[in-house]
Amino acid sequence: MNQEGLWRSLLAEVIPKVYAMFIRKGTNPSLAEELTQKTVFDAVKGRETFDPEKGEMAPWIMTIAKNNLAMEMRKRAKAPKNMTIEQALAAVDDAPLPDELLEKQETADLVNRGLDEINENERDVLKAKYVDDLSARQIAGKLKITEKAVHSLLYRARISLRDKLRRLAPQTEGQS
Amino acid sequence: MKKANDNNFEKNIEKLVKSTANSEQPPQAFVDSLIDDAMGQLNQPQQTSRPNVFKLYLKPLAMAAAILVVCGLGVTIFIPGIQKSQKRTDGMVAMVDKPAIAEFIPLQIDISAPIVEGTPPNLAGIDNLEEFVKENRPPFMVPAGTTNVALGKPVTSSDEDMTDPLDKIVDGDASGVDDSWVELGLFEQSITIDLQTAQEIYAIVVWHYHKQQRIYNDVVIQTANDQDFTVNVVNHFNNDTDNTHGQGEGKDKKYIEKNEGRLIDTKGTKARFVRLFSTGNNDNELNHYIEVAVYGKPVGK
Repeated sequence: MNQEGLWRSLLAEVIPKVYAMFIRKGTNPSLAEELTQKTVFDAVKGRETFDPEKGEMAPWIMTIAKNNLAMEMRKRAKAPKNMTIEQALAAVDDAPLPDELLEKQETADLVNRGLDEINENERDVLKAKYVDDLSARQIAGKLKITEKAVHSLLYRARISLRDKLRRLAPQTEGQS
Repeated sequence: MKKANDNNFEKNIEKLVKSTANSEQPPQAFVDSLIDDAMGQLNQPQQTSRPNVFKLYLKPLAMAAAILVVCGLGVTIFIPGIQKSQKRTDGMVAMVDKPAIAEFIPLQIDISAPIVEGTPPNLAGIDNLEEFVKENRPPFMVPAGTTNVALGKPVTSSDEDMTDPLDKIVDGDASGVDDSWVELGLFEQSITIDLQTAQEIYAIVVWHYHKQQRIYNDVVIQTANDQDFTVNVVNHFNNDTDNTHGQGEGKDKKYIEKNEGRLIDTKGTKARFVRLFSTGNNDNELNHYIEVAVYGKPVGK
């Protein structure tokens, strides 16, 4: 097997393990994807620093992943905290959502309720796009609509979900 | 910034929906796409070669550095006044002591002379149009080593019937003289440039047809990691206010084409694919490109 073939087979084995490690450590799926991507790029970029005498490549990549997680946690420790879901949804158009909020079970429960209450087509397209990570072309095939209709449906679905979540979000008293 | 707001909204909804996924396994599409991106990175030359010889000498070097630091401290403590007198007598000492700063230089763009022809069109009544500035824009700073990474790269388009060769869009000729531009069909059209490997992109400059005072409609300029534009999609410019292209409701203004092209600050975004949309122009329903330049460096360089 050539160099590229070896890397492909190594990454196919390692990426799910790295991602699962991030999820087990409590990161949300979006952040787990970001950190997994960073880990893979770090490994490929720094491949010449890998010393085969010290062990195999998969554990080496896992060490890079753990370092990336530690850096993320340090960064998070410095970030401002205590935003409620209501406040976050009020600012959903303008500011990135805090990762801590995305890792709370109550957020997932709220989003699940929101998804249950929007139109079925809109729910299907959002899940296909963001949970299954399908391309617009793949979604078009699955839902038997055109690619352009997928984009329009996605646009409407995002707005429907946002509006639904704002209505469903628990009202917090005493917030300034 | 309105552009950032669009991206924040989409990204936030993506994160919220993703938060409902309850599997420890990543989506297969994500794994496949990441492996492809990694292969692109793998095929680039290494940024710096760090041979194992370096490791052999790491410890002695660290010890030597520690000794030098201790000696330096000793000199500072026991021979006071040396540094002060040096700084008093020779201002260069202080300058040399400053840490190195990443070098940023003005982006060099080959801009031809304006060749506007014909009667200027009546632009009155065009909504959301930014004021035309006759002077050229100020220099745009980029890290040293930034080049046009789109030059000679493969281009595809949404128009399957077009006859003009698409490689004219990335041939480095932005002059707008006859035969330097390509024409895409009616109404909504797009072109996609494959940079072939992931790049850190600092600016995208697009020249539509600029031999007349033209305004192209629904211009969207975006980057992504994959050809289907599903991974890390970033809209860098969007004046598609009614979302004709389904890429989100644009908040940018329409603009009049100039010989210097339209420069979009892409802030070092990492991506492999660049896509540009338009829906005809103020003169006709056709779409034209003279040149698209993507200024960046391979990721990690």
